[in-house]
Amino acid sequence: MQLVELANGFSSKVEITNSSLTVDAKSIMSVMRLGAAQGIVLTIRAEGDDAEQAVAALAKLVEDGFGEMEGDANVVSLGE
Amino acid sequence: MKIKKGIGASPGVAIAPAVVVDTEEFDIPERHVPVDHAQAELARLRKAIGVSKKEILDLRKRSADRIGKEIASIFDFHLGLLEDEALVKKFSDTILGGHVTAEYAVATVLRGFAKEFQAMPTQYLAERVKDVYDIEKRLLRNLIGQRRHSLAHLTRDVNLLAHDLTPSQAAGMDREHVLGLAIDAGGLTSHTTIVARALGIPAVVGLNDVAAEVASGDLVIIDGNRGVVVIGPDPQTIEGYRKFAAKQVEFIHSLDKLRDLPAVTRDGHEVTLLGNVEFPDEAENVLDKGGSGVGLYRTEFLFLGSDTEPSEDDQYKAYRRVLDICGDRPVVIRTFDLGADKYTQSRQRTPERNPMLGCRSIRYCLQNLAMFKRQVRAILRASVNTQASLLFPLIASLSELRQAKTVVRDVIEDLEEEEIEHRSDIPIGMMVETPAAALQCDAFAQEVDYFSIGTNDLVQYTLAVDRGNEKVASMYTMTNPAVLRLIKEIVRAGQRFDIPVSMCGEMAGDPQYTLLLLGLGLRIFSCSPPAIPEIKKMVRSVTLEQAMMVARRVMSFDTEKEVTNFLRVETRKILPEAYAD
Repeated sequence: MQLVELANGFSSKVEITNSSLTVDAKSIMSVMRLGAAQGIVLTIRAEGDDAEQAVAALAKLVEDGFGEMEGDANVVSLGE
Repeated sequence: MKIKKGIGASPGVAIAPAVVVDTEEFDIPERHVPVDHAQAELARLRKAIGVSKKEILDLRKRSADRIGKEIASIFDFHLGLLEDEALVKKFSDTILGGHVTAEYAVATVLRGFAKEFQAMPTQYLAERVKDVYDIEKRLLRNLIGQRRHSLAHLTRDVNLLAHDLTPSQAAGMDREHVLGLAIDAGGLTSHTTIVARALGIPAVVGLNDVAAEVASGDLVIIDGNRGVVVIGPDPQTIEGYRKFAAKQVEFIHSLDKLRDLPAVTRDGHEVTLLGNVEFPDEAENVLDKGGSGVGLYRTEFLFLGSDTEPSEDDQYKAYRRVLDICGDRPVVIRTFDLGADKYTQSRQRTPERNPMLGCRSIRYCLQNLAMFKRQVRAILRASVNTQASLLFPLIASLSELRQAKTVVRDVIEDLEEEEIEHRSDIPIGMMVETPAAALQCDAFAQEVDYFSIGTNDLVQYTLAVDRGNEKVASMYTMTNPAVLRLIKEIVRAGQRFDIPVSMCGEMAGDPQYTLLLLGLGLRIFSCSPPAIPEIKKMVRSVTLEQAMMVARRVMSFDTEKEVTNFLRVETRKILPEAYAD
């Protein structure tokens, strides 16, 4: 899970939201619960010192094809 | 006080606090722990996670060396899960919030996720469900492993309760401190039962859900005679059982003096009493209890929950050990009666739908000739200058028997060619334990040196009842007239063709059937060592004439109920001490 690994590289608290669920991006189990498939809108939200970098990096990964998940999600990035 | 009814698998009464064990692939019941134990459960959880991580790292490294990095990367996901702080927090919250065991927390949390993923339409997640279950199993194994470990080092007397035990757990338990066994699963013929009987500790099986209803520390009475487990007994019940247990001990001691006396009826007819063993050293127990040899050595116990075949030399050593203990006394070595166990099932590409009717026992051996030959080689090498004989289990057709005998001939030829010392004239016998073999026993009697009646399978296959299945277990009865007729025919065929007939099933070790079997003409009994003195006492207390009258009467009954009641009355006249009430 590249996304989780990446998120764990930042000190900020990182959350991902799909249409119904907000989860901790640093937890594999939680991210899997999003059931992210193609065409789903994900919102990435981060809070902390490196929040902006975190959101940018994660958004790029998702846009690039979500690592092994081959998703094609639209991303709304919100650095806080 | 609560009374749970199961099947009495090994006689006796044990009164002690319970220890409850879980095993792999079993629904973990909610098991509350006292509030002040929650921290200890957290520590167990952390330790299990640590061990699991290490296992996965090792596994990843080994796979990477062997099959390449890509495959090994699937373990990254497993590692990721164990390092997932949110997940670990969820485990901890469950333990602290509900005061439950670490096992329960791991199982419920992970199964909850697995269910959620399964419901999602994404293929990727459906695949990941398997990984989640895999991690669950690993964590549980490591958690239970910690407890299992402590099972071998108990500091006080306990009754052991479990959903099921693996044969290695049963064999590995602390014999000094485990007073009794109560198992949810299993029947009278399961390995756990056999081990309990071999150790001479009371056991009740087929209890369905006793493991879920008892918490470790609860006072429990295990009554192996009545097949009952009493949870939290009242003082009056405890007192009643104490008295009974004391009487039992007295009775067993009174039998000790029979040890060196011969097993002859009052009118001088000799009977041979042998013992069944699973482990080589048990042969000493047999002789200790006054048995005159080993009537059944269950060699499949060499596998004992492992998934590798014992080498020819390891087998040779085990067989040699039994034969050395027995000296010039007879030892019947039965070839692997494997099937529906860890070893064979892990080698099936797809699980057998009905393993009891599947590739087990002699069938498995004939389909795995290299393994079978290694065993026969080890037996023939070990039996030089001994009274060993060879026994084939589960024979159903003549062609099967002939094939098995051909294997023995081939092995003898090989050994001769290699000039390895061996015994080439070893007697060859067969178990008569399928209705097919029983009905055709005249033909079989002309091709073997002896018969051994296996009542456990004979009853199961004749009545089409799986005794391990709680829903039909009560239909499993040795006193069914159809079963008795088959036994009578087998004994008669032996007489007609002048070959010895022994019985090594459970029936041979139950004093309730001794009169009947003697009367039907059986002269060789093989049973678990603790049962030998009782059977000897029965034999020495009766005349053959008496036994024949009982047998004639029994064979005139049409229902098992009449048979059971009649035998109980007749046996109680001779051996009242053997009865609980």
